[in-house]
Amino acid sequence: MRHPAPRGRARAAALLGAVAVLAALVGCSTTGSTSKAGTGPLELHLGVIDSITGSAAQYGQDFERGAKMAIDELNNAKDAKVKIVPSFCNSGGDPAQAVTCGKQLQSRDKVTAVVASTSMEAVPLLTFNTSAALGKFVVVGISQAAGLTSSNNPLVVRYLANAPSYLPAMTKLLDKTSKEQSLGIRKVGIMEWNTEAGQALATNFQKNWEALGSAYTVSSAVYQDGTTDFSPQLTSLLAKDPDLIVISQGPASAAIIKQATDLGYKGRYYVPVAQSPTQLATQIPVEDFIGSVFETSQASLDTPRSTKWRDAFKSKYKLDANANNSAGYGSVELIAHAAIAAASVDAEKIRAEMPKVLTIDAPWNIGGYHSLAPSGDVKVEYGLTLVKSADDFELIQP
Amino acid sequence: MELLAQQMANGIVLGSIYGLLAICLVLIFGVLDIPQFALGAMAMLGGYVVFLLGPIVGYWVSLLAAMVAIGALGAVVQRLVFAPLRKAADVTVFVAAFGLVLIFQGLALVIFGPDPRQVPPSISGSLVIGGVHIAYHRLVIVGVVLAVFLALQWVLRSTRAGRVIRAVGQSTTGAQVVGIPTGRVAFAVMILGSALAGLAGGLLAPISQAMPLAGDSLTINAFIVIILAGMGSIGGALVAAYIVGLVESLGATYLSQDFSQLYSILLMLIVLLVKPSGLFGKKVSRV
Repeated sequence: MRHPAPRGRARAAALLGAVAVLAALVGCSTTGSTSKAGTGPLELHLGVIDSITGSAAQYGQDFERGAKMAIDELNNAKDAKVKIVPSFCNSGGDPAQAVTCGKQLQSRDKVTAVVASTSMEAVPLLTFNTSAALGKFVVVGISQAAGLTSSNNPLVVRYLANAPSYLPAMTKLLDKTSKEQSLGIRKVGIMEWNTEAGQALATNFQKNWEALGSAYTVSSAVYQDGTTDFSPQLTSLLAKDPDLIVISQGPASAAIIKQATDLGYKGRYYVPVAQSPTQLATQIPVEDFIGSVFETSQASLDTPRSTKWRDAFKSKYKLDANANNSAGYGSVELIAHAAIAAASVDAEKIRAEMPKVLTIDAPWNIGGYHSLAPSGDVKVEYGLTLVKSADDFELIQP
Repeated sequence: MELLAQQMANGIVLGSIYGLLAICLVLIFGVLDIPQFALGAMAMLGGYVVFLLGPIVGYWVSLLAAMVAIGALGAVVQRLVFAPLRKAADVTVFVAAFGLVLIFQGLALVIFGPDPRQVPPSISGSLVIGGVHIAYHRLVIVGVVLAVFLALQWVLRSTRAGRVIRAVGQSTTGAQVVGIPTGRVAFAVMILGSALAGLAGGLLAPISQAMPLAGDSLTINAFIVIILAGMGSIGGALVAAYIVGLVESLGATYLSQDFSQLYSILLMLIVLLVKPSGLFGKKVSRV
């Protein structure tokens, strides 16, 4: 039985205070600014909601690097037509915290546009981003799941592939590559991350792969968010002797590949767009994933525009750019250029200009997007990267 | 049959890791009465020590370094956080332990970033018996955990230091009456428990890789284990850990993978309903 003592209480209060301050620092940092009237560049109050801590921290931190690069470029440009006033908020991968972030950005920072790094941040915002009373803001979100654009929200855009939209072409491209390069991929096993994004990839991959013919089979194993030992799931999957293991969560790729190798698997892997082969090679030896295929966004292809952008990114951060970096960058650029085209920072006017802005072949459009459906879905075509050897990564264009 | 054997092997390895952390919790909770939620996060930091030092001094020396470093961290935590709170309300201690989790995870995230870091295993390759693959490192984990368990049992039962720890665990007041310096014993137990958490993290890192959230599921499962086993029994905690590991592994194969983490919780609830003191806990009567 403990009895409170004044000295103990004082120390406990100090400790709790320190914890609260730390949590506040880790949880939410904003750099809000009041709007200024004038004839200079448009002052666009932009919210960036991402998960820089928690299980989706890799996605969030990658996304934020790209977003910050775009903000710096736009604000430092000569004759800048728009000045971005950013406010950052960390959701920690928690949808409830994302709502808190969104409401804070809406009421305190008066943002008219928000970029969000995953479904966990983007989808909850759709319950209040069209409120005229609270303040409307356009949401440009990264999400594999259909839910982001199926609610008829007029102020939403998905700035990344939608699993139902890109996987039909992707599975055909994988099959074509398999036949041309004699990869022998028929039986597929899916390691399904039990989240909205993981389920979207798994469900749509299975549907489209099985549609290729009766010889194309799929088995799957589900694991929970936060899992570190995948052996039970991999054991079930390997019992079906798959030619290819589809990984539905980029950051888990290294652990899954390593543990599957320990269990005797010598086949190939399919790695989602969030994880590039160069990034994975910093975590496990390339030899562990030779023969594997990686979804590859336009920003990773060897076009002059993409190469220039990747070089600039590497120069700024000393890191190789991946799809989430480019998504953070492209999301902010899209909003900024739509605001410039609209000559307004009004959310509805920004959203209305976005389809037209995407048809312009501009250097900032590193995602290679060229159309935007009324639902808010961009049309995206991914390529594949086949890791043929430790120093031979073959890009396969869509 | 091969699938069953493989999953049983997986379950035993899982149970070994849970068991090691559960032993730490039993020790610390038994003597200090502190629900040390941060042990999982300290184990995670142990993984990072092995990640940093392994390539320089080799796996085994880095594992020892992880034990020393995390043991020292335990000393700091005890001196600066838990000792000042020894007379505080339970909820305050609870919040302090939870705050430590946030601090350690935040530190790891700031210093190392969110990307998983590769930690090479103690021994590469796998043992294959009748189609069952067991990585040598996983066998090392089982061996080390059993060795630690036997060593602890010997210390606690056959040495003076062990008897002192048990005395404090049974009654702090009684121990004080017979002249045992309970504060120093608590300090030593916190160091020992933390060092073993560092060991657990270093052993797990080659499997899970070093990453900021690596300790979360460990902590949850270790608490399930000690509740299932009943407080106060190190041997019971290890047996319960193997049960949890096997239930998780076999449940994912023969029931549904969608609920793989719920099976051990369900088992815990059933045991608590039938035997509230846990599988190996002693019934406590109140006068």
